[in-house]
Amino acid sequence: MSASTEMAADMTCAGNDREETERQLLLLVEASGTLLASPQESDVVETVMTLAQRFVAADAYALWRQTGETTWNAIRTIGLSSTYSRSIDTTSVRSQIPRLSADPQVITDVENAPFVASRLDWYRREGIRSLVTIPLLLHGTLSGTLVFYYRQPRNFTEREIRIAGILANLAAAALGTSDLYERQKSLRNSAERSARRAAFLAEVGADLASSLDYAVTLTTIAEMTVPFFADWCGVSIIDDHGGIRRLTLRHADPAQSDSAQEVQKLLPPKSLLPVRLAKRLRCAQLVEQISEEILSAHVARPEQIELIRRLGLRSLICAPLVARGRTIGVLTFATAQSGRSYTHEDLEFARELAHRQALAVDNARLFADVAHERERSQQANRNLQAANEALQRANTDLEQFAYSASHDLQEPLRTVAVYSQLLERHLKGLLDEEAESFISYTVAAAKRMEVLVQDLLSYVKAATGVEPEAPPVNATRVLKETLVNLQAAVEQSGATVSSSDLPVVRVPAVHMRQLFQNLIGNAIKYRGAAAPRIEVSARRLGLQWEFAVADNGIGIDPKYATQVFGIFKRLHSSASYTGTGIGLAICQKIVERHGGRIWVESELGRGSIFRFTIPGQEHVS
Amino acid sequence: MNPSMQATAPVVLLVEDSAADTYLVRQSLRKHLKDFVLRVVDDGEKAFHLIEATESDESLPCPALFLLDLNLPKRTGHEVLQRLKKSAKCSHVPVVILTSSDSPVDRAETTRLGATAYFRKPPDLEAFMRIGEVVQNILGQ
Repeated sequence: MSASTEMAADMTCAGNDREETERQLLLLVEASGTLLASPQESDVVETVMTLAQRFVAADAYALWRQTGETTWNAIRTIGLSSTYSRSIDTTSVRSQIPRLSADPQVITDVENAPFVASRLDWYRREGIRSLVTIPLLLHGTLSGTLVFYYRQPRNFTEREIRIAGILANLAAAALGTSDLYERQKSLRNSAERSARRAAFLAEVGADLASSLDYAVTLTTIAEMTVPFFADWCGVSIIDDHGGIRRLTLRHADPAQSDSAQEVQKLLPPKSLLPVRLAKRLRCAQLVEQISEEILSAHVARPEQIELIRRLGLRSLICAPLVARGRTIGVLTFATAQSGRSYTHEDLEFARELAHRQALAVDNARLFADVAHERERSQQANRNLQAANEALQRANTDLEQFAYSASHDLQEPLRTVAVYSQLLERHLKGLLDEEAESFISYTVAAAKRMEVLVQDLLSYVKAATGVEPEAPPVNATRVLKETLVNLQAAVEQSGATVSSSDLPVVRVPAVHMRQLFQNLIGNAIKYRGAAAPRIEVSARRLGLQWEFAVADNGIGIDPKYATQVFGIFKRLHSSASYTGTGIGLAICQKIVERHGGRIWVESELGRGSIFRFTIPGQEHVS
Repeated sequence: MNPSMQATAPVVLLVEDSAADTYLVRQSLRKHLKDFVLRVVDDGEKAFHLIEATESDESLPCPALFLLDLNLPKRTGHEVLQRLKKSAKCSHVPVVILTSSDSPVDRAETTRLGATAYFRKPPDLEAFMRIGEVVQNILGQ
C-alpha cells in the first residue's frame, strides 16, 4: 500500500497552492532557526509540536521515539485522550508497523489497513480513521516518527506530505542535536558526579582514617551522603552476637524527624528485606523502583507498606559492610522527594563507600580489641608485679621467721645437748652401762635435733632467699671451694673427685656451693665397698646447662628416684647412714628456684648420676 | 695496759641472761685463765648502766673484756656494743660476741660495729669450752 496514487491526484494543485507551499516552506526555514536554537529535548519537542500544528492541519498529533530495544513511546501527543496507549512493544509486530519504515506511511482508513489491526481498538476509541506517519531520519537512522491523525478517512496531498516531510527532517535534525546535547550533558554530569563522588570518598577516607570511634564516623558520613547521594541514609551495625542495631538514620529534611522516628519504630533494620538480603548475600542490592509488587511481596505489615508509601520512597540501595569476609553492618540509601532513581552507577558508588566504611569499622574494632588486649595485659602485669612484691615480702618475712625460729629452737636444744654431756662427764663411772646409754641417747637426739633445725633453715633459705640478679659465677671455682669444705670427708673416705670444664652460670655462689656440697657429700656418704669415684661434669642442652654428679656408690632403687627429693625423706636408718633427709630437698628447691630441674639416674649397686639443669647462655669457663 | 690494772685480776664482763651458759663460760674461763674476775649482768640495760657508771667515776676501771650475748632482754647485744664503742673511756675494750645465732647478718653487723671475735655457742660441750681459749688469746694470758 502506498500513498503515491492518492498523492498523484493532488499533483494538479492550483498555482496559488504552490505559492502557498513556498510561503510555508519559507516560514518553516525561518522556524528552523528557533528549532535548532534550543538544545533541550523538551524545548525541541514543544517547538516541533507547535510547528506541526501550524503547518499541518490534523485532528491529533504525536511524536513517537524509540525508548528501548523494542519499545516505542509517544513522548508528546496533542488531541489524544489520556487513556490512549502511548507505548508500543514491537517484539511481536515489528514487520507490521509502518511507522518503523523509513518512508512516510499513509493510512487513508484504519478500518481497511490490516497491518494496523493490533492498534485498531485504540484508534476506534479515539475515533481515528486515517493517519500519516513521517519518519524522523538522521544520517539514515530512524530516531522517531511524527504522526498526524484524522477522525475522517482521508487522502493526503503531495504538498501536505512534503511540508510534513520537511518538518520531520527539521525535527529529526533538532532532536539529533538535542540528543547529542543531552548525551554530552549527561556525560558532563556524570563526570562531575564522578569528580564529586571521588572528592567525597577522599573526604570520607580522611574522616575514617582520622577517627577510631567508628560509631561517630559512620554517623558523620551518613549525614554527609544526605542529600548529596540520598534522601534517606541509614547505618546499621551487626554486633558480635549477630543482632542488628541501627546506628543512625538521616533524612535530608530536618522536618522529617517525625518520619525518622516512625521508621525507627516501624521499620527496624531487621524488618527490611534488603538488610536481610545484604547480610545473607554479602553484596550490594539495588531496587531501582520500589513498586507496589515489591512492597507487597517483601514488606510484611500493612502499616509498614503504608509508611513507605507515605514517605514516597522510590528507589533503594543496600550495601553491606563486609570486612574480612564477615558482614559487620549495612548502609541503606533511599530516594524519595528528590524524585531520582538509583542506577548501577549509584550502586557502584554505594559499594565503594561501604567498602571503605567497612574497612574503617574493622580497623576501629581491631584497634579497640588491641587496645583492650593491651589494657588487659597491662593490668595482668600490674597484678603480677603486685603479686611478686607480696611474694617477696612474704619470702623475706618467712626467712626472717626461719632465722628467729631456728635460733630460738636451737637455744634450749643446745643447752640440753651440752648439759647432757656435762652430766655424762660428771657421772662417769657412777652409773651402770644402761644409764650411761640413756644419757648418750639424749645427747645424740639433741644434737640431731640441732642439725635438723639447721637444715630446715637451709631449706627455707633455698626456698625463699631473694637474689633477683645473681652475678655470673664460675662453677669450676665454686666446686674447688666446696671440695675444701669437704676435705675431711674426701680424705677419710679416700674419694677421688674429678671434673670436666664447668660453665659460668647465673646462680648465686652460695646456691651452687650447696648443690655441689650436698650431691658430693651424698656420693661420699652412700659409698659402696670401693673408694668413692665422683665425677662432676656439665654439657650444653639448648638454652640451658645440664650438670651431672656421677658416683660409684650403693645406688638407689629406681622406684625411689622421686621420693629421695622429698623433705625429711630417707631410705636408710640413721644408724647406718647419718643425715636428716633434707639435703636433696634443698638441692631441688635451689634448682627449681633457678628454673631448672633435678633428677637421679640410678640402680641399686650400680652407682648414681644426679643431674640438674640451670638455664643460661654463659660459656664454659 | 694500765699499770694500776696489772696489780689486780682482769675483769671479764659477761652480758648473758642464760644461767646455764654463764656456768659454762665460768668453767671454761677457770680452765684457761690463771687469774680473772667474772662480772655478770643479765640484761642489756644493766650493761648500759655499768658503762655509764664507769664513765662517770674516774676511779672505776673499764672491764678488760666484754663477752656479749646478742639476744638479751631490754637492750640487745647490738645496742650494747654500739654504746660501748661510743664510750670515750671504754671504746678500746675488746668484745667477744657469744651467741647461738649463725645469721650472716649478725656476723657482718657486729664486725662492722667493732666486735673483736664472734663465738657461736655450739651444741657440743668440748666445743663450747673453747670460749676460755678465745678469751685467753685476746687477753694474752
